[in-house]
Amino acid sequence: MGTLTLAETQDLHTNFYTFEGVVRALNGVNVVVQQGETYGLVGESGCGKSVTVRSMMRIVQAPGRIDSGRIVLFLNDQERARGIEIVQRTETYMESIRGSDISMIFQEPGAALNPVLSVLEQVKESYQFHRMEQMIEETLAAMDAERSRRRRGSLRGAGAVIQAALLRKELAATRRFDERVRRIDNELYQLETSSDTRSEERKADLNRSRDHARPRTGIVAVARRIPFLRRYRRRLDATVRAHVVELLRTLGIPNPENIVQRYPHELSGGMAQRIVIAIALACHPTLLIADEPTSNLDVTIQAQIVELIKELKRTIISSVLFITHDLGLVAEVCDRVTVMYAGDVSETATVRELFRNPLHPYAVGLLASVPKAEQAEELAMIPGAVPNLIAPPTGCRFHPRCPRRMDICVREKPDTVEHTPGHWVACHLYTGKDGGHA
Amino acid sequence: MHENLIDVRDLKKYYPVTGGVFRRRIADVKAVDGVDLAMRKGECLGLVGESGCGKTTLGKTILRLQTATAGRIYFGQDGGKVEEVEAMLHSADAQARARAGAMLKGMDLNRMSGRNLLALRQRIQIVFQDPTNSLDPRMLVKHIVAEPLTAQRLVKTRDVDARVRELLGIVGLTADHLMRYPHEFSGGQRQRIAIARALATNPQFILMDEPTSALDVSVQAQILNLLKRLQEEFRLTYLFVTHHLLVVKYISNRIAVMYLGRIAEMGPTAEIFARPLHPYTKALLSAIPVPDPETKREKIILTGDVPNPINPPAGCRFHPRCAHVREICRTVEPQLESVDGGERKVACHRWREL
Repeated sequence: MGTLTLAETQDLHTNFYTFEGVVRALNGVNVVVQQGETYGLVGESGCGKSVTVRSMMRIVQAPGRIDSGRIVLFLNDQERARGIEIVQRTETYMESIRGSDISMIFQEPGAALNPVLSVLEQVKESYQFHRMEQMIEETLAAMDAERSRRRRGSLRGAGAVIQAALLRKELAATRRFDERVRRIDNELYQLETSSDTRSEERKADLNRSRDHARPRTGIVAVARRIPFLRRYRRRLDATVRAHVVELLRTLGIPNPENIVQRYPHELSGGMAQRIVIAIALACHPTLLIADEPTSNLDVTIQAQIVELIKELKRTIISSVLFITHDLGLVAEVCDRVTVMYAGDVSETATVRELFRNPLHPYAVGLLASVPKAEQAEELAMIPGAVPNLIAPPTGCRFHPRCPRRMDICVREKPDTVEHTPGHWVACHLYTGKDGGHA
Repeated sequence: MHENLIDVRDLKKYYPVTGGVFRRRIADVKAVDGVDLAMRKGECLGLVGESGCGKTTLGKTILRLQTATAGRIYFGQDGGKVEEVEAMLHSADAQARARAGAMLKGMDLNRMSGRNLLALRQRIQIVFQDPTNSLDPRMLVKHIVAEPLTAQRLVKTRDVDARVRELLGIVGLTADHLMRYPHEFSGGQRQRIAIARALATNPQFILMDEPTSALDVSVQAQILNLLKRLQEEFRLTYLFVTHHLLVVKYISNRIAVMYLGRIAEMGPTAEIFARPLHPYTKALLSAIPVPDPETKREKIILTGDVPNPINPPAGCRFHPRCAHVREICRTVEPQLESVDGGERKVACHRWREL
């Protein structure tokens, strides 16, 4: 297995500016997702798992803000060399990769789905936004096939000719638009490393023109307003619908033709979660972020969803970033895992290594406090509770609850060191700095 | 049989579904549909099942927070007397049945009222799932914990404060916490307050309705250990409702598995985990993610969801999702039968073959 990086964050700080004060949710988070792996992020609530991935998607909501740090994506070979830094990119750029290259399954399917839109409308958005060109091409191909079957000169055939013409116009406009955006992105990528004033100005220019770029549709825009001519859209909708139905079928949803017409409240929790997964997978993303995809589901349904994600990992997606608080799921699903605590990365290792040989006292405590299948003696527990991040503890944020606290832990934030190859830990017990026991 | 603290017979709880112009009753949600359950003094019975299977309703009906549609709940009654009344109820003699009905007024928790019920309420308590919602945000901790004491007039007014302090001490909180509001506490501490409140009346029985599902793992361990300690210290009987099977395994002596309003299987914890008999229990157990990457087990993945309890499947309720379904499963509803002549029971036509 190669160890090509797909996405990484470097010293990420995300803060929330609330009335009570600044919540320092992320305190310099470094995570690396490699190509082809399932990467787990575990920790208790409030440890910053969700904020980390929301930062990576650039969907941190106000009053939150990414204050410093870099998020680098290596999405295709051309960018392989140094990756794209996305914290500096514009919102329109993010829109073009969200749902297409990286997408996310949200925690609560009930809240992630829009209650007033049918399943079809919610799933088809991704196709219409990211895959318009392909959709139009397929529609045209279908219409061609249909025409060759029909007799020449019939009146319905004439309607079809107009519709096909309009679709071709739209296709050309979409292609021109895509080409233009691609050129802008390329130039931006070339300019990314340089930071003199001239290139800064050029960058600002490019970002602006990218923001304002729209497909120029000309006559199609007029046709869309005329009821009779607007019918050409129906063909397109039928193609999109066929794709949605097919997608739902591959996700193991029974009777997809019927399900697409339903509204979220008519679906059970497991089914709704499958729809959320369908939305995330519509465009075959390279990286799928699953934010506690099973936390509100029953064990039997959870098993179904986990099995589905594993299966998709084998077939469609390259990497999965799996967030959970359930260590059992981590053991089952992930290849590598990072344990987070109060906005800090405590430990990163392969799953096997972490369960066999946890180093950080928090990871040790966390593993011991989970009821096992063979639990003979009393459960170990970590005293105290997760700290308030408005006034986080000094030094190592775990020190107030740590059974192996030393003097230095109160003063200094521990560096992350590679204890054994591939096993990283941020704890003064392993940094070599001896502070003496408190 | 004489040591049973709670004896539940043929308990049913239906919720009406109304419809039409006159809001007539057109169907019933059969949340609990014929459950027999006995709990011994000092044991912890784990009640597991998927959401919507009726486990919370069963718990609340036993506490009479909901009044059952049918069935009897004997709490702290003499076992011999219970058997006698049950025999009379099922006898062919109409007079005996009428006499049993009269006797039930004083015995059946479901038929009690007034002073009898109030007295019994002292001995049964509940800890709810989410401590954020079960504690009144406008009450101080000391008032929250004192409320059962004053409502039941258990201690003199001037002794209330001392008793509240004692209770907080028992659950691991201090007197500093007395004058605070619930929002000032973390989830684990709130659950401790809820436990202190439940302990206030010196109950014999506490219903634990998913007490740790809203908590983080490290805090969950603290609460589970606390509950275990309290059970030994005060000889409490728990009905522990949860969907987290490893938690149940840690804390309970016996387990009852519910599916769609009925009990599918019950027995001692170790035996159920070692040798599940009902196909549903097997699937449930295999679906638990085990926190150990070295063990890779074969999983039984159930298809579909729990059916609608308004219209449960005919025959065995599990048959549409069961891999071992036979003709008889579709038509005849299996009864809970004893496996070894003892307390290991299962409701499945084919448990012997599987």
